[in-house]
Amino acid sequence: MNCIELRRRLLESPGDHREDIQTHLELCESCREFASRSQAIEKELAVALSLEVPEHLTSRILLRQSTSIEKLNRNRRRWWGAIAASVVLIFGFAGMLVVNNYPTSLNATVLAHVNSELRHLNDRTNVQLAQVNKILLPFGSQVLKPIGRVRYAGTCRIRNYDGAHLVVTSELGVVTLLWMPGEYVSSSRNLSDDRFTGIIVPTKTGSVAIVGENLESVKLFENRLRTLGSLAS
Amino acid sequence: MSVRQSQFEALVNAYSSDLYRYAVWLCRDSTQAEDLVQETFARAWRALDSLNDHRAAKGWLITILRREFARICERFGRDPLHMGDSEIEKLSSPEFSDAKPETIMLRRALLKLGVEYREPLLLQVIGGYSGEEIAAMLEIKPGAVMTRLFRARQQLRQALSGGKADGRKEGTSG
Repeated sequence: MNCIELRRRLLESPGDHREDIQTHLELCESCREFASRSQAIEKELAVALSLEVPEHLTSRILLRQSTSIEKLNRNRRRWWGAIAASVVLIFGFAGMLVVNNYPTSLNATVLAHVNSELRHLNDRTNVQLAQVNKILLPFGSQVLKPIGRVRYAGTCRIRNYDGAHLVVTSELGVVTLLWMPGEYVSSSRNLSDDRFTGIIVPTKTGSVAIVGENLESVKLFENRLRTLGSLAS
Repeated sequence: MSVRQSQFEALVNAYSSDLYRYAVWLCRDSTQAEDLVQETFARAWRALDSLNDHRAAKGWLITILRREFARICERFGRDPLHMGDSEIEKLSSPEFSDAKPETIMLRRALLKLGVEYREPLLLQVIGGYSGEEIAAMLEIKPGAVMTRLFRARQQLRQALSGGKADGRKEGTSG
């Protein structure tokens, strides 16, 4: 083995301690220096890659999973409900079953999603308008003017559809905006739990949920989106 | 607690940290990396029954994460999480650990490596995989993996020596 081959093998696989490498190193001082430097860089590389993991990452993953189990159970209940409804339809009661629990389910899903993504409320990033629109455009929407300081902009999945997830701040508080294409609602509806309050508003392609810790901030962003023409009416 | 639930929690506890680090260096965005890991485990939960050998769980999870990242790339463009200077500063700042100057230089160099070089390196250093295993995961030939690992480390060495080729007579024979 010559020096070029040895150095190539050390760069490919620094943990390679096979006999031919050891033999060469015993005879070649220059390659010993190279190997020593390689080992030092490798240790430094391991340190460089070992980023600190966010606190509570595992608990957030498990929370999301438990939410998905709940959703699955709800879907199963809905499936059995659908069978029951079909039976009733046969007996001519279809008209009475047009209104089902769909809106309540969407409300619950939105609140569960916001509660499972609490970390974004404390994000310190300042996402630029162009990046926000890069996220929104695939979902058939965009905002033409800044709507507030955007702390987070990403994609998420609400029930069966991909959507956009923004966290925006204003002087009245932090608000989560969820663009939910495909989730059509006939009219605006309110939602709330122990912590959050919000509204789901129809859009041309589905709906937008606006969720915050106080109604004033929710209304503020509803008005801003309406002014920008991002809402259906 | 069901057996399935216990298995899932064991996977989360064992691999979420490595997966997060892998995701950060893959997509070069700490916030998106956490989303990526969450989505990976959500998909893993749904497909848990297809994991026959739990010794292969880490590779299985990395494969799910890579596919999810590829899905995002496909949907939002080749570099959906285009990294600005602020993200480089953030990822290479002492906030992410009590980083020494050489560590910061390495992180900057890592962030600037092309994904084709960065990914095999991550799989080798964070994942602990061999060249053959990396080749299987990336669906390329083992020889190509070794070439990429060689070039990745060569670029890191160059970055550490201030952008110049490593002056330690790599081409001489002894």
